Amino acid sequence: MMALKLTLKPHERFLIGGAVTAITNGSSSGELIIENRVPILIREKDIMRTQDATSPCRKLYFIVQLMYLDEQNLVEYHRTYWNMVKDILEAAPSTLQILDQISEHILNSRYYYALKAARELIKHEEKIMQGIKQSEAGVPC
Amino acid sequence: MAINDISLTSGMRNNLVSLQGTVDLLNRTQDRLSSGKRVNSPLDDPTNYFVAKDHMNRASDLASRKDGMSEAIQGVKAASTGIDGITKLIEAAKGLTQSARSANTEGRSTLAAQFDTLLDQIDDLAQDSGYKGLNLLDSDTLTVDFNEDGSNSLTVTGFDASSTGLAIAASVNNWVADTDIDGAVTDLDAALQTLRGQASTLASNMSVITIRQEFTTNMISTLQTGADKLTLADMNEEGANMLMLQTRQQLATTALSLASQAAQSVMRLF
Repeated sequence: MMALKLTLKPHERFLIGGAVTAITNGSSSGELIIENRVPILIREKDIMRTQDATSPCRKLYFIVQLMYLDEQNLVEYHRTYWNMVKDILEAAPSTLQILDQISEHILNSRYYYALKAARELIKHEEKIMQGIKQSEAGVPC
Repeated sequence: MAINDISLTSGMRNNLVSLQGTVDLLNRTQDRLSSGKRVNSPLDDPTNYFVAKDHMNRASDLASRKDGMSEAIQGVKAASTGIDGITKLIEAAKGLTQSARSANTEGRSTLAAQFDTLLDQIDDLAQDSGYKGLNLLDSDTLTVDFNEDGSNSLTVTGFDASSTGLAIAASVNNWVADTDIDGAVTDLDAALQTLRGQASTLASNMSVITIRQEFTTNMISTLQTGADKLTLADMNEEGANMLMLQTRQQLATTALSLASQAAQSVMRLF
């Protein structure tokens, strides 16, 4: 497992080591190097707040995040995850590739990378939703 | 319930408005699909066709990975059944030591012989607890790969569950003296302790493998279903579908309700 290096901004908050601790960085910026595999590490900018989990793909990100910070309930989250994946895939088959990547990372317990891929999925979702708004103006047939 | 009893958040309202706008679009897409005008054959759309094929290939790679997990589960199950059997034999042996305490010399000698027979049975059971040449009760090691390059795997380390491995000595002196029996009882208790520890390790390994096996099954079916639909992918239709899904989800679940209590308290910090 390669080391993970993070540069922290002043006062940046992050989660480490389980659903119990939220750590806030001091006034100067710093670097954090994770040598081994920590079960939990999410930075403030990467945290999907509940009120922001509004779209299907954002909710999926939220669920992956929950797997990451609450491994105790993994089985339950997996179930929800697959229900969501099926719905998303049904609605938009073009998400398949990214969904597969996210799943592969989850299977390998690389949640940090799973979240990274999930962010790509959100971008993809925005793109296809954008398509809707444009086509409302005039649909090319 | 009267219609005005339903209150909508502004997010839901926006969704509904957009939805109305997409109904037309959906109908048009539907027409195109049913009239066959939409590209969906390999000749018309080679890129999507071959991407879909890639996904099918990947699904079959995953299937072989899953086979490995299923085999591993069988191996662990065999060991765990073996442990159950051996535990029962040890309990029976403990019963013999109890009877021996109140028996006369002759009785003790018979019981001691029965005790040794039980130890032989333990050895046999430990030998027979393998699955396809792998025996975790004979110190074999099982490695389950969760991905192709083996960078993510689980190693289940076996142990020696024979009477020798569990350090249960054969009966001494035909159990003439009480101390001879005491020795056997100490051995049996220690062996039970060992078995319990090993059983719980096996159980937790089993759940790790099972969770991943189930996950892989879902991945395979997702890839197969997805690959089938990929050739039908249409950006506009997808956008409309996604919007409908969003509205459906909003009526059904809030994000926070997906989280466990522990996770909820953390989420509230942000």
